[in-house]
Amino acid sequence: MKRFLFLLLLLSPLLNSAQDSGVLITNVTLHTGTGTAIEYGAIGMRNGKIDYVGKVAGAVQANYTEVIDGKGGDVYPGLIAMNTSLGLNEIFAVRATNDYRETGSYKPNVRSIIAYNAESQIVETSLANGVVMAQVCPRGGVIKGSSSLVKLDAWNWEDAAVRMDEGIHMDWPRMVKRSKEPNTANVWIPDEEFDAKIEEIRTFFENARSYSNRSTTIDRDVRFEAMRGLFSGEKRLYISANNIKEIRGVIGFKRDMDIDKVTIVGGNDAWMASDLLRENDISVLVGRVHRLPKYAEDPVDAPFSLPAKLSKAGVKFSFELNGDMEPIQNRNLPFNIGTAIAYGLDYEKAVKAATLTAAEILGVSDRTGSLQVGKDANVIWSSGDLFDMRTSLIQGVWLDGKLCDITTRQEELYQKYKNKYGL
Amino acid sequence: MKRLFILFLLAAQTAYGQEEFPYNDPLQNDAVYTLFENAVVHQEPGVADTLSLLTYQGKVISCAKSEEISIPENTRRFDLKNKHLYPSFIEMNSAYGIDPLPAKKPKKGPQTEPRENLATYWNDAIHPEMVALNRFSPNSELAAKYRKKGFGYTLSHLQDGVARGSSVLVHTGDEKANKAVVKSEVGMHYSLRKGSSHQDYPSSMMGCIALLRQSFYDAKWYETNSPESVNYSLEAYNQKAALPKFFAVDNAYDVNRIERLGSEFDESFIIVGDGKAYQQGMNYPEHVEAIVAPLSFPHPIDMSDPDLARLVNQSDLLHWKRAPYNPFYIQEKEIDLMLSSGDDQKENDFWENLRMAVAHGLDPDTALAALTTTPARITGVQNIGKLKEGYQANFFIASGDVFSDPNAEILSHQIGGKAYMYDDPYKTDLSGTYTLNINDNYRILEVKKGKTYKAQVVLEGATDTTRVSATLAQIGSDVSLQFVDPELGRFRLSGTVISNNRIWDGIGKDVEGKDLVWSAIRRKEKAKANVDSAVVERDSIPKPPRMKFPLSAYGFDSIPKAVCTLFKNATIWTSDSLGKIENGQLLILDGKIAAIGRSINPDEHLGKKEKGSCVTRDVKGAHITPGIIDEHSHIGLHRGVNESGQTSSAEVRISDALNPSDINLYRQLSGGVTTSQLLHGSANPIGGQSAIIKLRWGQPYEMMLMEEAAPFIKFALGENVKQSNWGDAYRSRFPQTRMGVEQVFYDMFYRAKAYAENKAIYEAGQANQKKKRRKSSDKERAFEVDLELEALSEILNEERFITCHSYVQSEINMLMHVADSMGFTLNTFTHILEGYKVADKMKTHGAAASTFSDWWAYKYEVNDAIPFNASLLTEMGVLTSINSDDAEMGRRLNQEAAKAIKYGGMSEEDALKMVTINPAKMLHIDEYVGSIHVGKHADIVIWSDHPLSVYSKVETTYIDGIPYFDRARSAKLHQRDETERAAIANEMLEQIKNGAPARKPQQKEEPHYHCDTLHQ
Repeated sequence: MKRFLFLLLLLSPLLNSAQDSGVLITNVTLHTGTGTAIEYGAIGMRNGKIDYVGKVAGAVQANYTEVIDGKGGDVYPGLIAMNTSLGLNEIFAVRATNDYRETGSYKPNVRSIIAYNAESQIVETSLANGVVMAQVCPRGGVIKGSSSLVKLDAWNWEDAAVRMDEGIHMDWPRMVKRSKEPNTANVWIPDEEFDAKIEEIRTFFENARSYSNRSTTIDRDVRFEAMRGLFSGEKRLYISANNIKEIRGVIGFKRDMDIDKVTIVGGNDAWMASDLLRENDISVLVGRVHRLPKYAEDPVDAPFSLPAKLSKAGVKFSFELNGDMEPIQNRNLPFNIGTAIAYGLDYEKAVKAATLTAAEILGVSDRTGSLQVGKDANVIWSSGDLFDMRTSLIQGVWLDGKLCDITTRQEELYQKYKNKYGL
Repeated sequence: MKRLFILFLLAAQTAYGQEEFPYNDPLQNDAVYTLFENAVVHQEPGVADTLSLLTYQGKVISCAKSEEISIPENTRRFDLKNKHLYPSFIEMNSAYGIDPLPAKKPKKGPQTEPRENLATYWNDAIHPEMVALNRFSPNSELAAKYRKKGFGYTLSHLQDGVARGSSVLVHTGDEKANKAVVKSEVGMHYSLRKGSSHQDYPSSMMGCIALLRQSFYDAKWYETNSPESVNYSLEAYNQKAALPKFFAVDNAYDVNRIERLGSEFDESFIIVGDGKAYQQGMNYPEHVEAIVAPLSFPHPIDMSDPDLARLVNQSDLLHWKRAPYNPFYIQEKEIDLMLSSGDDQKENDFWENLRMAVAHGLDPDTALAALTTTPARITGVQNIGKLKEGYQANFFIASGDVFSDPNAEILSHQIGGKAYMYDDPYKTDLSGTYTLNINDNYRILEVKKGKTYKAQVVLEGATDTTRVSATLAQIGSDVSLQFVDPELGRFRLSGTVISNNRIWDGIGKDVEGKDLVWSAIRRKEKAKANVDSAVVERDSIPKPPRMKFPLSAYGFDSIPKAVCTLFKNATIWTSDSLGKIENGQLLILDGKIAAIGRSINPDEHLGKKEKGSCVTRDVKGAHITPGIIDEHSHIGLHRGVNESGQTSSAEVRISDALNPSDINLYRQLSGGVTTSQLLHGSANPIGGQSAIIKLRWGQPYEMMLMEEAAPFIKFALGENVKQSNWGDAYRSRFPQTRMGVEQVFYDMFYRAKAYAENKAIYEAGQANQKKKRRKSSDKERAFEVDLELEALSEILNEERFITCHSYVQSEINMLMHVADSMGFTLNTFTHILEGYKVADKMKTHGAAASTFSDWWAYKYEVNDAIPFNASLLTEMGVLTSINSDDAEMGRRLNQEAAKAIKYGGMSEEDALKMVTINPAKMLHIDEYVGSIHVGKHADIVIWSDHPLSVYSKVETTYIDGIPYFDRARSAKLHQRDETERAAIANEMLEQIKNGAPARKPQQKEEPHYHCDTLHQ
């Protein structure tokens, strides 16, 4: 398979020029991202767009210069990594490579896109596993800054940007705090300042709203300028909240502030508030599936089965991988999803969550997120089930109809030492 | 009530002149006897009667029936009818009066040396030479608190450090320190906390134990050799070797750690503070002489907000229900029990807790012994703890039986001949029924005594009886009474108690201010039953709630048993020469794998009597694999994974720091893990000794350890050991570069070689001397044991194996050279992310590789890590495994192994071997575990699906044939926990409603350790 890809790449100038004449992948199962699958399917791409999605039988092969026999493999819309510091951080322990945490508490004006490193070696490992776009987010403080959606094969950040400054990220105050008593490492106690901290956020938002009511600027406040989009409905507000008390707080906050687009990030207890979330049109980015339960008392598989619970309750959700070693975990996004499937999430709904739903949350679903005619040709082809590491072997990744080079430096090192040993 | 007008009562209060102090006032000889008559005297546990106590100058002259005592003429007499009299309690865990060590600011950066240059032990946490006596100065505030809790003595020590020095027994009277001291040096005290020492070492709990252990060896050596240098810490150890040893604990498993120490040195300890002794279940550790259990029990938790209530650990809830039974448990185990109030506990809480313990099964006699005679015996002081002739007349007077009567109050405490009064014990008891005559109008007055008086005036009308409450106050022999008559309004009366409390007589005012005269005449009482001794209805004592194994969420009600089981219709992955068997059968019996095949008749493997006893489990469609073995894990640890205080910490043992109730053990069982190597962290080039455990959830401490395991030790290289990421303050400790790391190894191994040679010479010499010394009674000269070099010399002898944390090729290469030149094989490189670059060299050397599937980019040295590493190493013939180093990933090691199929195209069976037989080989336990092979341990996992698929779930995990995890059962345990939780929450809220003080909810999270975690 690898050899085949290599050949394909050698021919890429030819392919690129031939692209206008289109590529057709046949004999695959199409996981469309809309919640359905098409077996014995074929997908056609032309001029950067998808121009055919359907049964093999219905595709006119003669219309395409390049016809690839998918040999019973699987084709998916490219996965979208949500809420990640990918490209903002290269080597965690080397401070000079860290560009994800600005100082300050309220800094909606800080923009992740500026620091996004399109050449990051971590980015290429994500792309190689089927993650084609990422929502790049700043960290730290109460309002952490503005996120942008990027594609993972690009020359620079401008080229990478799919949608700039589409959302603002905020941490909801935590119900608990660490105890400072002696010999109480790892003890969490209720935070008596919980209410006060929420009040501070409310004040900031009230002020920002009042500011945005005036369309012309007299005394410029760059923070409030950045907030305008939230009240106009252009931007989405992403709020990290995990405990049920915090989640209920966010729901109330959305209502009181009359903010149109709100997404909860983390959402450990979101299943307890399914009805409220649905009724208030709040979506959830489910925290890393491969994480430990929050409480010793929780079922051992609580994080594994959370996506299935939300899906069954009709809550709109996608995935995110915030946590330790976050950037490098993006290449494990498919396997986090696989675990969620193992614990009850419907397969096609899982595909949808990581593609079309993510695109909807990001406000780009008109362009991408599913295998539908007319959408950008962001397509991945795997010779086996994408979500199972036992079978997942990516054969090709197309971004805007362009076949991406998914050879990583890691693979090159592998080849180099294989050669050394004569293997 | 606290009016202390009464000092005059004991006319001649003692302040015996002190010979050595200049004394200007006239000499007060206190030549007056005192007789306390007719009290219920609790002379000693089990002996209580109505007796009289004659004392003179702070000593008991006699305690007997009044008529049997010859009373000298110069005797003052006090009637204590119906009062109870107890010998003063003895508090065995106190810092009372001990001046703490002066607080010092920590230095910035490393502190390897002790603070001061003294001829003491090299570590500030070891100060056995501290003598509490030298630091003792009475503290009247704390003394008063103790007296009111019944404690007339405290055993005080400096509560700071690991070896804390000797304790002093003092009494709690307000005295000159010289007089308060009862015994100068009583015991030696130890703990597992370094206290105020800022020296880097020890930074972990296991380091505290290692340090203590080494210091014990040092003392033995010092005693029997002629050392060239003086060390008065070690001298103190040896001089005070005969004193009892007290060990403070603050974790349920600390006693298990101390037991390990006790058996190593053949010493017994008195455990101080074990409020969780009951959690030891059937067998309390052997090397425990006695327990000083806290008489303080947790308050209920405010569970009213369900969001916050979720924070509360199940283990806290379960403990709350069981804590009051702890003294009862110790009593039933027939371990010497002492009860401690602690310096902080409030007086009311203490008395309440004492009665709570009795109500929860503690025998009142045992309780009294635990507070008096047992501590007296341990301290070796002959004349305290009882009220008998010749004993110290230190005792307290209570209004009732303090072990059973909730209204019993301490009235007075006598210490060193001084009386401390809380309420006048000799004051007339006003309770009774009186005829109340006010201006010749008759009413009935009823007076009851609880903590205060409750008085009611009964008005008998023609048809009905009304009762109005009255306020009654007693001041000396004076009473005042006021009440509101429904018709006549308020009466205010005052008067005098006369005629031996038969008559009150006085004047008063009515509602209009008119004067009136009144009297109250006591009516005759019915004869009361004798209250000789405390009688608690022993039948009414509730049974303690059942234990759980462990006492936490998902704890078993009883540990499941190994049952002979035949598995049918399984795909069996043997990780062995048999390969993968479709539609296979597997028989487990007596905790071992008994047979593998297509068709097995279990009866062929059973004795005559047992035939037919095997259970058949049709697992159609399921897969069975060997239990997963994690070569690199840090779960199940208590207070620290790194002893980061020194470049080499070869002496520390992870096996001292187990936490068998860490929920992550259970969680990993749910991922099929059966065996883990718990490794020391990677803060030092030479880390600590590993513990290879089996995840036997619910079993006692020692059962966690795999008995067949080989000794291992952790080494480390690279950024962690050169402190690259510790911040700018850490730039001085050697080594700071990879160059320096090499030198650490050479230096330490040369030292270990020299040590081993010296030891050999010593041992040869001992053998010779034994022949010579037959007659002589000389002490055997002890060898200068160095636990660190001991461990390293074991490596040189290939009796201990190294797992070395490693990343880049240069350092891997280097360590193999070190090993080659020292003549041993480097067993395992763990992490080994650049192993693929030196796979040929590793193969030649014979080192194994235990790696991550795909971690990288978290620091500079892992920038060249590739997910193809495991595949390439395997292809090169290097024994390779995949490990977790992470509590979360440990649950999915099958998935992590499966990534080698994706990255490098490894075969499925080889991939599975990387988490089964390969780590078993690395750990030298492949004879017992790691594959499905007849005769090996029945450590197996039943999977719902292909074991390398992301979609596979563990159905059941067996260790030694015992199903420690079962998915269906786990759901039931969860449901059980939720139900219990709700019931306990109800009970707590009920108690809070009834006035119990509430605690706020809190969550204690299990710390998640990684290699580089430095905190505890």
